[in-house]
Amino acid sequence: MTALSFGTPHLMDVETRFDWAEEGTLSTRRACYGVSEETPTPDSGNYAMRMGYGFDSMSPGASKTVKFNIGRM
Amino acid sequence: MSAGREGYAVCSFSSAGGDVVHGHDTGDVAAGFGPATIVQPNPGAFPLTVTRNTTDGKFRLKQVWNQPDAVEKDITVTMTLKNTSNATIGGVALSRSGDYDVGTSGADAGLRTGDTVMLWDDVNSSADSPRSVRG
Repeated sequence: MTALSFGTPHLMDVETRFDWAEEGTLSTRRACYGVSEETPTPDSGNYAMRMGYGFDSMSPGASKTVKFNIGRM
Repeated sequence: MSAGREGYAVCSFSSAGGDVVHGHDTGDVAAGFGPATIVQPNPGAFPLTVTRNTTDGKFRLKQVWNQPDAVEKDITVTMTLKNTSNATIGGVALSRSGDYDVGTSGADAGLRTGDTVMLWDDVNSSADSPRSVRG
């Protein structure tokens, strides 16, 4: 995944599948921020990945548009 | 990628209210979004537009899935988030995440840069190597 809206603050994360998909309300798939793993990951494992944008404050009626590129290499 | 393991979340933060997840949907785990309105001018073809409101009345999220690029093997998703409430909302964030399980196994290696994050099969890893060819 690549952030195409370079002018908007963005973050990338690789996280373990356990953190991402943990049963219950703590799984990061239910939220906008993950539990970052060191990358490159030292070995293969079951990982998830995330890309996010931060918009700071949004006033009533305001909108923000961003682009996500998802690809296969 | 396994079915139902990719999606999005909309969040905000305030010193008074802390972290709030207004809606999330990664397929088999979802909450906070109402039903989707889908617009597809040419049935069975891109672009595909999916619009949903958060059930707390704070946001409308529109996703436009553009025509995939067969040469680049990628697709661009344009996401527009609108504050539909009558108050300013602070610390707004929008993310996409997924457990992609690329290749033939659930094991992947991961890497991130400032603008890109990727998962791939590392053929040097015993967890990820393709089947050996025996003579």
